[in-house]
Amino acid sequence: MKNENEESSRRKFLKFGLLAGTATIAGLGAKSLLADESKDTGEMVKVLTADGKLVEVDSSMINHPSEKVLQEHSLREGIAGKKFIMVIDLARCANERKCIEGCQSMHGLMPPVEWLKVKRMQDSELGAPYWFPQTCYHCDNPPCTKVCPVDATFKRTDGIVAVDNDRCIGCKFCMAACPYSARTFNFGRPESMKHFEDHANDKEKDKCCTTKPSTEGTVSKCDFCPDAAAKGVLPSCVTECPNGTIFFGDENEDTVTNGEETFRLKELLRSRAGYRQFEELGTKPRVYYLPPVKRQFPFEEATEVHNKAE
Amino acid sequence: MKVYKYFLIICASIILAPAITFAQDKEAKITLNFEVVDSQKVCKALVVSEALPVKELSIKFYVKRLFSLLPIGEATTDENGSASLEFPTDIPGGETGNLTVIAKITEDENYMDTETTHDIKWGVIVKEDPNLSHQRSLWGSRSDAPIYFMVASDLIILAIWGTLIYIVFQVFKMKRISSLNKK
Amino acid sequence: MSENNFKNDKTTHETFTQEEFMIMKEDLLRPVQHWGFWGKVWIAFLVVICMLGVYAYYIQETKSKYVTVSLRDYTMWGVYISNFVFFVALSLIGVLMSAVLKLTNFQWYRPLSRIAEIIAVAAIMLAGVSIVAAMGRPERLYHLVIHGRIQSPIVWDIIVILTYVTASTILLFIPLIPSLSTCKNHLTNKPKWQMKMYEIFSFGWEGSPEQWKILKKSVKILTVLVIPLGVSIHTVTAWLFATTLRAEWDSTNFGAYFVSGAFLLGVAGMIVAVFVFRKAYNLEKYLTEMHFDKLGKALVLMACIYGYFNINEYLVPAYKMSGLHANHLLDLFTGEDSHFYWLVVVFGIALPAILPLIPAMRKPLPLTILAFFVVIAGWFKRYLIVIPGLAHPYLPIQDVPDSWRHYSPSLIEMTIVAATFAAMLLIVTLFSRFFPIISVWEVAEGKLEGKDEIINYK
Repeated sequence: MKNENEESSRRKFLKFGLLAGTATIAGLGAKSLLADESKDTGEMVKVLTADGKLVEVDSSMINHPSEKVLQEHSLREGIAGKKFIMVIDLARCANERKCIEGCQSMHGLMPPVEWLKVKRMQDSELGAPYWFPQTCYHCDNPPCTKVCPVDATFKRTDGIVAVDNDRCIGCKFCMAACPYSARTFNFGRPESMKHFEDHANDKEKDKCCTTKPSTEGTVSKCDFCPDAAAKGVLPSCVTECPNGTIFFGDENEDTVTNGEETFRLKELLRSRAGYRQFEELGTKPRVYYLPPVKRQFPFEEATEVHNKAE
Repeated sequence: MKVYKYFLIICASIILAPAITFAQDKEAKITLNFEVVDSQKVCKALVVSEALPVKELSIKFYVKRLFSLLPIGEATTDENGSASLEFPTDIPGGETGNLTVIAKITEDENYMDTETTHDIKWGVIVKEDPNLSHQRSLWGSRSDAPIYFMVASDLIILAIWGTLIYIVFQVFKMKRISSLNKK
Repeated sequence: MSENNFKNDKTTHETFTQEEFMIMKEDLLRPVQHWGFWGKVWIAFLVVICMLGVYAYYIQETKSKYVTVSLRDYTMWGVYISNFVFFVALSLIGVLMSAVLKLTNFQWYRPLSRIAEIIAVAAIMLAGVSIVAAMGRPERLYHLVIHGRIQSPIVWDIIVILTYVTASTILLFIPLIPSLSTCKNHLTNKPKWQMKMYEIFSFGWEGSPEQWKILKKSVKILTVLVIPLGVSIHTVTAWLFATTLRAEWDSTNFGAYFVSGAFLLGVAGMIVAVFVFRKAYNLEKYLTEMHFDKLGKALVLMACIYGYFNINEYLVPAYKMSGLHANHLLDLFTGEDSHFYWLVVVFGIALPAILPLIPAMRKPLPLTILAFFVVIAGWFKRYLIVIPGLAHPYLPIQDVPDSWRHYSPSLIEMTIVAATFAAMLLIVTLFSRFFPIISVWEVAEGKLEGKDEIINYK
């Protein structure tokens, strides 16, 4: 798997030089086709194309369309036309915890705080144990936004349940209401606060979310990295997983991808008998699971204990 | 006869030499055409290389999605260099139904990797989900509270606070009575 | 002057004679007139504990809550919330004593109503304080006003609590008006501001028939109003839990279960308060053994009702022992919290349901000791509802430090909780030092109307 990845990325790199030129032109061409969508600003800017030419284009052309959408979308409204969805293939999870680490470094979180947890589940005594990655489910009937007294957690039009850390009063009712224990509270742990500060300006990271988990005394949780998603960048839990366990996509496009493979969402769920955790609670999660059958790895118990240190 | 054969082989090798040496560098151009045949949507990729149609070449078709390309099928070119794919009818194409279709040649023995992009309004139009956009609901924001809910709670609050205010007025009435008595 | 008025209008509204009024005034104004040395020590003691609480809160808010408070992501609600539920429960006593008994013509409520009302007002105020102590960002409290969502049970709770505080305060204040007039006319050697306060708040009371008419009408309306309000505060508080999807709180029984628990706690709290006032202010003539007898019987009734709801709440799910409830129930019955649980069952439900059936147990001292245990058990009962309920979520708790699994309140938390108790007692004490703790005219009215129940007891 890994070799293949390297191979394909090298190949991509080799192709890049040849394609870049045409792609840039094609891209610009395609954008001009979409001219009705992006209004010209009249402001001309110089850009360096991949083949080294300096060209002058209208500033409205530089922005990736979705980036433009991103600028327009506010934290509360959501990205127009999108309905983000996640599919987690339990047959692929080997508890390597790379998703957790990716998430923690992306959001500046410090253990033991995890927005994404991998739990050892075993549904019955004779049933097989399996690893169960768990994020916020961004439910369509969210019990957490129901109870929030100040609209600090809310459902966006793109399906994301977001938290406004500037408004949250820290009553923790949403944490009590969430049947999945997906939410965390910033108790202002000194080490964590320092960690947030140290990593506040990490430039190498894509800015992935407008939420501020570093706000002391407020609730935060997995936010589906909406700002990265608006740019067409997958959340880091998806890209960090070495086994491609987590699929992410837009339900409106009926597509999910783990970066390597892309599937039709409905087909995938139908063929693999996808399910949602605790369907009976009526929360309508936006995260689906594919049952842990025909596994890629045999189940192995965790060899080390995580987050034991106080 | 033998000499003739030998000559032919030499000639053939001279002609084919560049082709063999630079096998993958042969350029092919894909042109995408979209047709509706017998109410069936067909996507045709015409592959031309050096002004000649390319036979038996595998073309992969994709639709551009937010995070990646969604494979919709694969087809092989016929003697006219045309690979046709029955286009799936159920691919969502946002509010406009516009799809960006990409045809690709990848990892072929003879031809360089290439791709062509074309937009076509063959997507299923997706209306915004009313469930998520400001539908009145208990989980909605403050302004999206159900009407019955707001009316009921306002009535209860008004009734009770109205009574309380009435009683406070009564207390002041007592005071007024007393000052009237004094006069 | 006012006394004269009553006499003249005997046929209309005045209800008691001047002599009786004067006697009671002597007895009831005494605690207001003379604070006494121990009275002052008691107040100083309460003030010190309150100050400790304020200091603890200062530490909690200025230092990291991860250090000062032992709450973690799974047990995100701790003693502050259980203390809040406790105080809300305690505040229901105002409804029981001054409204339910009054409307059902139980005359023995008369000397108790004001004690019950002030406990209710103080308790509901401290419930509010407990909630603020539990908040992550108390300085954003105003967000509730500018961003409040009517769909949220917290907003309902705040609305209903504010309403109840207002209604209870008015209900406490209106019957106080004649007493304030008495204070104004008969207290001596009191600072000027205090006399001025009586002057202002007696609202020009002269005891004229029109004034009596208005007063009684207002009290009657409020008495009726305060019953649904009191039931609502506790039901809505129960809904804070019952509107979540957590298995252990997901119960249709919860509102009634909380209200019945509140009535039991209220009666027990009342017994303790009556005993203390009786001893401290020498009010044996008014707070009689009859009251303990009646309150003891009320305790049995309330404990039985509460026991009934507890059976519904615990034993019915335990019979099924579904996977969702099993962890929580087994933890309570035989696990980590079982010692608390069974002590609460014994002292908080079983003993108050059985012991006061023995007449000797309805004497002031034994009944007060029992009631004291019921109050303590009542506090732990709320703890057991809130905290173990959080420790057993649907998805297992894994990969967390030990302190995230097991909650035990920190010193800061306990200090603040102790301070809320002290503050409640302080409010009640100070009230009783500025105003007569027994409604003079209500008792006299009862006597005059020949409601023998008040005096002739056995």
